Amino acid sequence: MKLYDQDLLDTLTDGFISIDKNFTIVQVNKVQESIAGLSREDQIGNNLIDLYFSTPETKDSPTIGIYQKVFSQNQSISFSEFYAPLSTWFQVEVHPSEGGIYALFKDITNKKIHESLYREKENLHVKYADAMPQMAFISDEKGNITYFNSRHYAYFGLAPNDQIGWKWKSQSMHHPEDLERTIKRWSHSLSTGEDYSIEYRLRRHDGEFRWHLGRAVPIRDRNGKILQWFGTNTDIHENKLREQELRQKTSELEKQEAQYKGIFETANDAFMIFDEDGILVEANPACCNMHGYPYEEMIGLTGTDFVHPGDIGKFVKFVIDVQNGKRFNVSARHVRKNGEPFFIDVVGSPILFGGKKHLLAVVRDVSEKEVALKKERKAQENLKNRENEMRALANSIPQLAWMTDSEGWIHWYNDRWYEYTGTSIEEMEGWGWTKVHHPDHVDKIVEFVKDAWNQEKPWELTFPLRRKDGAFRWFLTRAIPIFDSAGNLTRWFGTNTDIHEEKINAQKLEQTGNELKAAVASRDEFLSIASHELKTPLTTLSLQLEILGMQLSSDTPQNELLETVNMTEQQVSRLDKLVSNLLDITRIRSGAANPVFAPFKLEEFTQGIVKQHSFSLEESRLEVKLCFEEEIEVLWDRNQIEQVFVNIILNAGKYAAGSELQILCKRDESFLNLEFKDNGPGIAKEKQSLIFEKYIRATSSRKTSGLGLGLFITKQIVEGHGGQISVKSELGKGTSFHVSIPIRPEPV
Amino acid sequence: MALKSILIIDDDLSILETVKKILNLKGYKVLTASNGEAGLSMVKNGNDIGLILLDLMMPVMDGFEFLESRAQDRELADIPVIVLSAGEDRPNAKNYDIHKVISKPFRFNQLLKEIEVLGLGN
Repeated sequence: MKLYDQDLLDTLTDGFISIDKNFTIVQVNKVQESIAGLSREDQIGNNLIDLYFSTPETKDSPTIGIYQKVFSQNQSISFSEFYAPLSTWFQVEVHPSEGGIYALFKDITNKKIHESLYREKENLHVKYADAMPQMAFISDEKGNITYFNSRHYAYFGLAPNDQIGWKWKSQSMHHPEDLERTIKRWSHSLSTGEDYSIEYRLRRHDGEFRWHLGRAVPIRDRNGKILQWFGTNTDIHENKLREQELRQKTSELEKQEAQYKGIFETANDAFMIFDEDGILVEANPACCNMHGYPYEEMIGLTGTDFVHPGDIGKFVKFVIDVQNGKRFNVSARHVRKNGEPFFIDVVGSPILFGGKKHLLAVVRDVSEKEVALKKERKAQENLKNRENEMRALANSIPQLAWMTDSEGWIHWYNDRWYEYTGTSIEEMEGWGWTKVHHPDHVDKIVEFVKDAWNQEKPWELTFPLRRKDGAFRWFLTRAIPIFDSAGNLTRWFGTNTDIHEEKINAQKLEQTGNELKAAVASRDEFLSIASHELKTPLTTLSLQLEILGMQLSSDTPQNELLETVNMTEQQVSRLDKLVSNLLDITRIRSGAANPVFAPFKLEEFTQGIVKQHSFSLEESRLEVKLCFEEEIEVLWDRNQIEQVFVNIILNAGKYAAGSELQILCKRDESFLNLEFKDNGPGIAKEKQSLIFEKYIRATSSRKTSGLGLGLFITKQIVEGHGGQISVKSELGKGTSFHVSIPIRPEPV
Repeated sequence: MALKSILIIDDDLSILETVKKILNLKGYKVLTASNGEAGLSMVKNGNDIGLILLDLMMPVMDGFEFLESRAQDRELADIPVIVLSAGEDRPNAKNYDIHKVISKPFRFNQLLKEIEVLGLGN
């Protein structure tokens, strides 16, 4: 019997066995050993029939006959055989060899099954599928549904054959969210031959979408070509819901746990979990940091290790209270590993930890807060002391004083302020101080002060403040900003010093100075005017004396000489009048012009004056008309009143030349109202108020002669009679002087 | 050639009267006006005037205004002016082409000398 190279045989993928003509096994390979489950030593030299074909189920196998045929015919035969002891189909090729035969065989069980399935296809599958509790379907190799089982139609509420082919795609069988995914997955399996498996929602006949597990496997022919797909839809709805619920619960729990863990790990407060004996079993990093222990040392400690000896009773109470399910809240002291005590606030509560009752303490280190509080208290106290001292001081000073906050809000005044202003803090707080300011000044002061608050620089200002009796007195106000050690403005301190007397004296002094200046200026002007006025008659006088000289030396007739002398006399009397006028002014000024009242008839008196000055009035072409309602006897100083009439009438001649002057007289009970009304050029508004002043002439000073004292004297006389004089005038329309004097004035 | 007149412009009647009288005594023809405006119309009315004696402080048109008007008027500008002033406020003689400013009160000879200087002598 020929022996084949064993190494070569061992590399074959088929099983190999060779026998001689007595059916004695000569050679096997590794694959055969593995299939048979026997080593070559156990087989070689043994009889094939004894070894493999001697049992009741194998002794009738056609295999032995085929082998004998190969021996007898000396030609190869190939066949397949079901070997019952291994429940395996084998494809076998038997070849003749020198002194024997050999066989190559392989396991074709799967192929055999498929073939048999295929052979019995429709009937078998349909039978099977209809018997299934699930929905089932069969499609061809392209995915066209060829069959749904009756459960399928029942579920969807459809008539048989309704969804054959790909119709299911458009028949809302799947949940809209799942359809695309389903088509994709199904197509994938169709193109690759992979088993189909997917979870989706299918719409039941009543409209409810229920979760299903869709599965399909390909059915292949002997060459492995896909012939059909066999699929099922199994209702997994309840499972799916439970699973979803579970998943949600789990994720919530995980989230919570993560949160708790996060809080625990990152909290600034110490978390300490004690067992019921008060032994620390868990602590967070903050706890370890706070007490100065590494975690390993921290765990296992108890109250006596880290609670201040003075507070140990509180720890015992904590353990007892929390064991009894109470919440616990206390301030105490703990001690660090290095022996340093520190202040804590602790909240204790029962907690389940590892499923057992434990005590949780949340501990906050408040030592910094405690120290800061003490410092703050101390600082407040100092501040208060200082402020009290300052206020005491401020109350003892003679000035008014006040303090503001940093914004300029006044919150305190000294007693002197309230004494002076007669006000209360409620009225004065903040910006209430404006109430005691003079309305003429307050706006400017508020503006100034608002600006000053922003400047943060000392300032001073002078203004009047109302005393409680309503009188205003002048005060010098000084304010200084007060800064804290960090340089921040904290308040303003201000004082108001009464400088009323000084201020009034200064004002008086200034006024007197101005008056003196004005007096000097008007005196200068007066002298200038007076000299001018005196020079005119002096010129005439001097020239007439020269004429007289000339006449005397030239044999001039007596009457001409007399005329010249007459004229010189006129000039002398004119000079005399001027000088008297000056004396009148001086008298009036010194109050010596006491009128001497005597009765006279006014109209008659006025006519006399007009007649007396007819020459001068003709010169200035002024027509004078008297309009007296009645002749009235007045009790006035005749000489002084003559001066009044002459002044006003001649003024009209001077300033309203060529016009008409009406003198109207009307009685008004005990008063006599006189109006002197011309239709001359009028007096400009701005000059009307000035005309009764000394040395003032309403028109350009060059155009008129006269001292400029006429109306001043007139006014003095009228007022000396207890009367009043005023002027009304409009440019271009004329001027009227109104004189109102009591008919019988009270003797002065 | 007829003797030219001397025009006196002054608001004070006694001055007008006295100066006229003394000049008449010396043989001068004299015209008078009581303010600048009246003086101006005297000139315009064709009076042959050889000299103006001008006061400053007058109503209606004062001496300064008269001088301003004169400066604008060629005919008038040719007539020499002597200012007779009692005040301290007096015009600059050069600016107004004034022959002389004589302060009041003055001696008649002072005036006569200036009249002769101007060639108005008899």
